[in-house]
Amino acid sequence: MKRALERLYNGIIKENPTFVLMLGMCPTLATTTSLMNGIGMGLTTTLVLVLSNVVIAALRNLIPNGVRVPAYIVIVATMVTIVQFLLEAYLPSINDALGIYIPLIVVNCIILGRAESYASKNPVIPSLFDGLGMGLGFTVALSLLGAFRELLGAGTVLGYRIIPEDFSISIFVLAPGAFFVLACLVAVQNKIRAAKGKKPQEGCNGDCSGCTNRCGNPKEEVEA
Amino acid sequence: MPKFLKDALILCAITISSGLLLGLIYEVTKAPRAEQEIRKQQEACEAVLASADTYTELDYDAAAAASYIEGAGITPSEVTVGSVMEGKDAAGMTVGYVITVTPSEGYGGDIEFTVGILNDGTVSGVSILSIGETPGLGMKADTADFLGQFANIKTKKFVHTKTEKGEPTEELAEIDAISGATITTKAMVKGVNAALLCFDYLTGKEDSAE
Amino acid sequence: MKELLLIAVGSALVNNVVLSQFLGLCPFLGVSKKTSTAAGMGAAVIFVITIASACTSLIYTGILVPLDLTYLQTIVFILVIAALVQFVEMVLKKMVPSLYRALGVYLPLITTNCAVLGVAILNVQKEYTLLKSVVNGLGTAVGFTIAIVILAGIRERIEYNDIAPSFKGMPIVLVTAGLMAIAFMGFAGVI
Repeated sequence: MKRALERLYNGIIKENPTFVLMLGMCPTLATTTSLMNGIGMGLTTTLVLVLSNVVIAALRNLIPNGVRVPAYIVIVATMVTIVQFLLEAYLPSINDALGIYIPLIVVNCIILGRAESYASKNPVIPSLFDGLGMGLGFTVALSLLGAFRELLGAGTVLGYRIIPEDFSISIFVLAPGAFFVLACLVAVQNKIRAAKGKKPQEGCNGDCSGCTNRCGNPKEEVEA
Repeated sequence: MPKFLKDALILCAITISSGLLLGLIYEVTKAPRAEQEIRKQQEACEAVLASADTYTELDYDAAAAASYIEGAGITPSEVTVGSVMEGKDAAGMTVGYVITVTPSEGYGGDIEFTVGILNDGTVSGVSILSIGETPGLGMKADTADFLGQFANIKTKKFVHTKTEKGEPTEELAEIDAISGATITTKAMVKGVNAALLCFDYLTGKEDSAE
Repeated sequence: MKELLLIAVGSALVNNVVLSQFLGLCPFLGVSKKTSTAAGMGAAVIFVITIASACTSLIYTGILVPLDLTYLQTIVFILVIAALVQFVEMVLKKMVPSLYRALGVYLPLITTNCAVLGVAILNVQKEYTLLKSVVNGLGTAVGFTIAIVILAGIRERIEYNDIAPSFKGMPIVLVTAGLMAIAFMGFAGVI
């Protein structure tokens, strides 16, 4: 139980995939035009993350080291397709709103990253909570971004009008707004880190090692 | 057994079982997914042609309809006419048609919407299925303010205007353009006109058959 | 011909893959510190996306559609792309060592570049033919290269600028990308 809580805390706050690890940028920026879409994408990713973490943890002793990355990709792609079917069948509005970004969850760095760095080395239950924590952390980040963009860009939150229509700045719902809002959120976080005496956020900035390490570098790992 | 062969076999096994699992889930969710698809279509029809009870897809000669519409001045590269649903009331009489049109000349490309047209040629409603216009400008096309202008008007042709709009006549009805989004307005008006022409074609053919 | 040109311009500029569709952001933000590496990444992406578009389009229309297995598209496409990247790498290493030296380090990064899978899925969604898919893939990849090279050029220049401490690093790069996205919005309405 303690370990489960520790995993949740780790995913949501300590190693928040978006703000701290800077992973999964594409859906973060693309699907956060409104709070509802942000929550939808976050929860869909969480579901895929939990399912794939559980399956990979269960099969961790069976999957040969040499072909583990292709095996993970197959498992993740399967889970994504299953979730897509379920959304089409029972929540079509979310499926329509997120469109192509649902199949693209397959290449979301967070999922392969967790498979590689956690689920492949730990038992099923902790892996489940790791997936849940990371997924919720991602959801929180997407919801924040979605809420800011919807509020500034359309003047509403979850469809309820807060700012009169004449004062909304529609650039925030458009593509550039996504970059600006994320830039400000990361800057705020840098400010907090600086206050605590830590270095500013670098993310996968630079050599992209943050990304490659976690996404798995198929070449090296297949040949290893 | 060589190691790489064993690895390959395990990977194969994982892939095959994934495929089988997917096939299973695909079959299980097939019915509900088809149901959602039908429900979506029904809802789109109801939104524009509320007086009908049931809607059935009409089998019509799409190529001939397209050339008829082109003859009247709207080419297929400007507007494509998709499926036509025939709306019937409880007694099984046709009350009107729901025509799906896709004008491709919006600011953000294709806009897909349905137009409901009653038997006498009155537009009963317009509802957008998919639109990718600029938020705050072209996106205003998807508001009741704009779409409502088409409803309950019987005319042969719509045109957009940037000044005070006049009374609609049998020949021509004016639509207030969305300010700052003339291209979107033009595409929408053209789409509705194409639907009216398609309706002409459908009803004209029935008349000649009788 | 006119249609192909429209697809190419549309995918390269109007619907720029990074700046308006948000695909391939990881390499866009990660490998854009120097113009030379950005150009190398761009070239590798052009190479892989063009081939991948052709392969996935062929497999979709040739195998998945006739066998009624279109629901397997995600899993098949990602495997094809992963295998293709490996294969391209091996072929380049053997046949064109000079090109391999130039692009080699970027190739493994591309498997997880969602632009590749994104283009493959979009081609299928839009029901493009083989030729159109390849043109769309090439256009998308050229658009990616244009964006990443411009961003790298700007980043080289802002390196020594006086930036508010909180905005150093990632935030200023995101702001730059946002301004570029505004510039690219000017292309909307071109087609």
